[in-house]
Amino acid sequence: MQIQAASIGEAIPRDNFDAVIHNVFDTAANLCLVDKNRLITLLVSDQNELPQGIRITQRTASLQSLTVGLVAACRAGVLRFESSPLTVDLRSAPVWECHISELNVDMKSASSVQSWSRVWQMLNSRQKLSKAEIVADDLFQRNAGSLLSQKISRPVLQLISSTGQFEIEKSIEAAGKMIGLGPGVTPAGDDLLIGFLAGLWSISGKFQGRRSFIHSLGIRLMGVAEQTNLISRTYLYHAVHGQFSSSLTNLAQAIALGSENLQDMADAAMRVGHSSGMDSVTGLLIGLCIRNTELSPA
Amino acid sequence: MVNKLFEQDLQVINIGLSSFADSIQQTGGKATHLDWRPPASGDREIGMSLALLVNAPEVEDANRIAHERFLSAQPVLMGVEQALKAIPNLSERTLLHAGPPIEWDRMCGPMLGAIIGAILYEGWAGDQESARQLAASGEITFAPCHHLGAVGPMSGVISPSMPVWIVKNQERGNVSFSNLNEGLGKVLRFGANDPSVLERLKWMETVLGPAMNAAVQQLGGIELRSIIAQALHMGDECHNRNAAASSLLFKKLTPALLRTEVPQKDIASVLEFIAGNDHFFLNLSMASCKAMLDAGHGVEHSTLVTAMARNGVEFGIRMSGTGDQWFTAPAPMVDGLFFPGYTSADAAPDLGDSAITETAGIGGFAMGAAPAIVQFVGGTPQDAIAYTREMYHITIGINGGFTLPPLNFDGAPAGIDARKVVDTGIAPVINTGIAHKDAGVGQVGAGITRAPLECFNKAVQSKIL
Amino acid sequence: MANSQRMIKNLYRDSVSLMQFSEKLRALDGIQQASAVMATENNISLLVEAGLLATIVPPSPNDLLIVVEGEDDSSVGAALDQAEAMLKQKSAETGEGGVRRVPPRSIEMGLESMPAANFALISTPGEYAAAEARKAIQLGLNVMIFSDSVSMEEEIPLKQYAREHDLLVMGPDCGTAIINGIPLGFANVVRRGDIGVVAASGTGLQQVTSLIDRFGGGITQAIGTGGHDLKSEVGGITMLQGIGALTADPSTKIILLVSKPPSPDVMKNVLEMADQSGKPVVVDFIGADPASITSDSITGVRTLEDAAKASVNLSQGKASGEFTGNLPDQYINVAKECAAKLNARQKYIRGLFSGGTFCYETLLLLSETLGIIYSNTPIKQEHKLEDVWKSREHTAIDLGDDLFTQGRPHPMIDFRLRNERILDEAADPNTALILLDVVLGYGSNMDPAGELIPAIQEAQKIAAQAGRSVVFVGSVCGTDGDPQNLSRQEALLRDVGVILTESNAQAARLAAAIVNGRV
Repeated sequence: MQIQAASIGEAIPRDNFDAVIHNVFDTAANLCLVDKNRLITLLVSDQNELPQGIRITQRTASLQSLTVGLVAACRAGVLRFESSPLTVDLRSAPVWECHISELNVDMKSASSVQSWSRVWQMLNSRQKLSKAEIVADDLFQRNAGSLLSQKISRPVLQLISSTGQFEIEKSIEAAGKMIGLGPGVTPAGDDLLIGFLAGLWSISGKFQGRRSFIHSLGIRLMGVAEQTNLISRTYLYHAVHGQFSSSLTNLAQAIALGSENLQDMADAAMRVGHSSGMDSVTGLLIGLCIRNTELSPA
Repeated sequence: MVNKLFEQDLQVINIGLSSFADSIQQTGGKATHLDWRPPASGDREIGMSLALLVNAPEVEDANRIAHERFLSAQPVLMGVEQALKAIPNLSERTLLHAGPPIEWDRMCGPMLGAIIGAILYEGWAGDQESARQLAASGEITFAPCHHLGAVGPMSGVISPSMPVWIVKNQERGNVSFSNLNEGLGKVLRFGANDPSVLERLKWMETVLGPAMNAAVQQLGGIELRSIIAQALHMGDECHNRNAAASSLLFKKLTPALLRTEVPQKDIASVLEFIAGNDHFFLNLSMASCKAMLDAGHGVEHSTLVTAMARNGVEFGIRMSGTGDQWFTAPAPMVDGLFFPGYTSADAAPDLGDSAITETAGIGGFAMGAAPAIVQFVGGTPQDAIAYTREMYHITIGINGGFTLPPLNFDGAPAGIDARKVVDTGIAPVINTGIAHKDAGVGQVGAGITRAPLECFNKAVQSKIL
Repeated sequence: MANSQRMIKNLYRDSVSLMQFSEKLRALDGIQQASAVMATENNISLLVEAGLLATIVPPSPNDLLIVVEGEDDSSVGAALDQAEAMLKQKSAETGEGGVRRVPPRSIEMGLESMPAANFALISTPGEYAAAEARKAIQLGLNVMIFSDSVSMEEEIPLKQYAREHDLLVMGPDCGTAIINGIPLGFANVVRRGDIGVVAASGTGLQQVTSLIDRFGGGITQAIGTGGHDLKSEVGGITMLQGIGALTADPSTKIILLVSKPPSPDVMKNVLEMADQSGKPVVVDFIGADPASITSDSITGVRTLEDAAKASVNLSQGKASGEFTGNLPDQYINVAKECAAKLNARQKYIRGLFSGGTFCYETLLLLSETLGIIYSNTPIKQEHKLEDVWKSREHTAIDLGDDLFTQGRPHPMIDFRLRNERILDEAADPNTALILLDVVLGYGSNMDPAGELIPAIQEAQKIAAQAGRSVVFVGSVCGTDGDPQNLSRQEALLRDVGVILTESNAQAARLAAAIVNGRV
């Protein structure tokens, strides 16, 4: 059954490529690119985009026929899977690009600050309601929340202060304590870091200093990323390059522009995974406050 | 990419000498040897035309559009009306027939009989002989049902006074038609035309048609896709087996009918008639398929097959990207089981518009979901599943709306790609009734046949790009 | 109280189901605490801090770590077993229950069953080969067309399309290639090394790669182009692509090109590209003057043997070498001995070849010293045999010519025709010497020596009965890695008196020396 990809992310190779089916979830399957040791994701969704995503729509597809460990390969723009009748034509799919680094969010503007505060509130109440292990407010209080929350609080605070000072070593030290920490296939610490990077990119604007800091931080971060699994590492890789999921990007944009559907955007971003979405929104909101004297989550 | 090849494991598709695949495997490479035969039955020129179409972006895009339109169609039964009123452009002295165009003097036995019957039924002639003369005189226009959006099983003869089902694709608004099923035995579609046949047709026109229309209006239309989907889960393939679908329809019609103004005695006779005919739904299945496929018709560059139909002499197909053109070949014989007292010597070649069901991915294509059918057409339930599996190789995709329980609820293989038929040499399987070659004898068996490859060869050679 | 842990390799689950999964474990009898997390360093230390894990275990971030705490060892052990079983539970496979599967019939179906295919090898009857190749390149595959009788009108658009899409079309009529160490078509098992070869001739490619192996070198890739590639109309598309790919290939240190002389415009482009490769290049444009080819970076040579030798020398860091074309010393006495066995009427060489390029190279070399050589495939048209079934004076026949292969297998596989001709030549009182090539490798006959020996012995008997003796000279093209084994085949042939040289060129020169010694 040949289906057409609804869209593909900018990081999807355009020429022939070979991959191995790495894991299969209900609505997503990750494929490990043979020569890159990075994943690309086949996802069944009506709207969510990923920089490394090949999106197919809900009505056409089921990933049940894919088997972990077997081959997936793209030839002349058509992606096929070993022992599966599924084939996906990538050729006429529109390419989705993430422009978070061009957002140039001004977190000093009143409307942005107001949007930020609304999302922060929504986030905390949702985290409490769903009994999430990490509640954003707890990170800024001594010995509050779960053991995980307490353990991750200190590096988060350190990350905030050291990125504010453009201190690479201390930032990496903090990130190293967060990486791979927490439950879930993408551990919570990773999601926080990814969100945090999204925040940094959003406010980087044309500030050369900020951009070169993110760049240097990114190079070092990929070294530390060896400590977590391939799925997280792939997201981190793209985060370092300023590429994020559409749900996170849209939320950052909604905060920047004071969009009317802020709530929908926040919901969509928080709904990803079990707690992944909430964790990365936590990171995003924290990242947006860096180098900002008027706004602080604490 | 040439350099990329140097970094990869060599994985070879081997076409031709199988020993080459062996030596690749012996030296540590991977090879898949094709069970290859020259495509297009060995016609080199067609083979080249085909090659240029394989994976061609224009064709892929067009097929996707056509396939999407075909799959998203929502056929809904809107009512029943006299053909003359219901079918646009049907003129008063026209008789519609199954399959590609055919002239009177070339028609097969059952179709001749049905045409004579229809002339008598319309009262255009008083007896067989004058009906025959009229038919031969050129005063009657013969046209394929397909040319006017209609389909009819077997001889498929539809005359202006006959009631027809009106099915509308709610998604795109296109409308299709089919006549009402007369049951088995001595019936017009097999060429029978004696007074009992004509009497039944009259009853269908005056009682059954209006009653059905009243019931459908009462219901505000009937969604047909969902009935087909349900029936596929109940052992029908909606071509040769319609027992479940007919029952489901009966369930919907009965309460509605009782709520209409139709006289009690008519309701009783109508319900008895429907209850006594397990194929009652067939014509609706066909009209649904026609409405779905017409939605996918007319997309430039598309190789989606939008009709397969037979007139008992020729088998014809139409393709989305080639408009009204028919690509024809002699109609094949059907390999099947014969009713007691009949043999293959009694059989007419393949006949009827009912292969529209296979064209839409049910019928023979969904045989895997209808194990009971093998008692009727021969073979084992495993054969039935194998037929369905084989068909996945020649379709553009699957129909997620028509799922098949024995195949792990995979969607039925749907939307024949003429290119794939020619390239693989896998001909579409059709699951069909067998008509007696002489007019009026009726059905003598049922079985399986394949659409002739020649039709598809001609189709890919037509100007597609 | 007891706790224990288990690591599950490479097992991924939705995080949602991982959470639910931990809950399920906690609900088991006698279990107080349970956690299923990715086994990262930070998670492990968190579990230790939480008291769920007794000691730090080595991290493995792609694996799942399950930790349970319960009343006693048995309930903990049972919970872990159950956890593992739950995780590994696969959705029930659908029973295939005797349902037959359709074997792949088209290239597209082939790709469905082998999605990572990157190559199509086409050996269908020639009339269908172009269409199959077209499909293959449109589906993103590199192609080798073994089939012959594909016209240039068909070849050109195929190669142009492939070049636009950065794919390779080798052939049509490409008999030999070795890609990534895998022999394709008629090819030998050659040691891997650092010499990359592009050749327009199949047997030429077999000879140079086998000799490279014999001389102690090895190859990266051996790319065939097919015989028409270097004609002006095709423009050497495949040869140029091949040079480009070998230039970009870091494993290739030396590039070797083999072809009959290309048309002048193509030759210019090929040499220009070779020159720009930045790697030492050896070129044998069989029949062209080496001096016209040689430049700073290009070594022009006269024979396939010299091509192999020069490449191996360069690969071993030496100079490419001097190639005099003289008969090596060790053969001079052999030539004399053989010449002594011939009577006055035995003047002529009869070459019977299964490889086209072997025949062609022999024609060139013999004509240098012996003048006119007749053939079915002569260098000059006026030396074409009128009756190809009958030799005259010096004759060399390519038995792989279409004339001889109509309706029968190639002479590398089927020896009947050559064996009959050996007997005919032996019966001719003017025959001094029968010159042979023997080609090993995949695709060829599995025991060529075994096929030839009875005919050779019969020929010797015929000659002896007439009071003569016929000299057999030849060369075996192959390697010890070939399924037929080079050493064994050579030993068998030497046992029946065939004089074998390392290469076809040496065999030709030895043959010339033998009959020259007589004349």
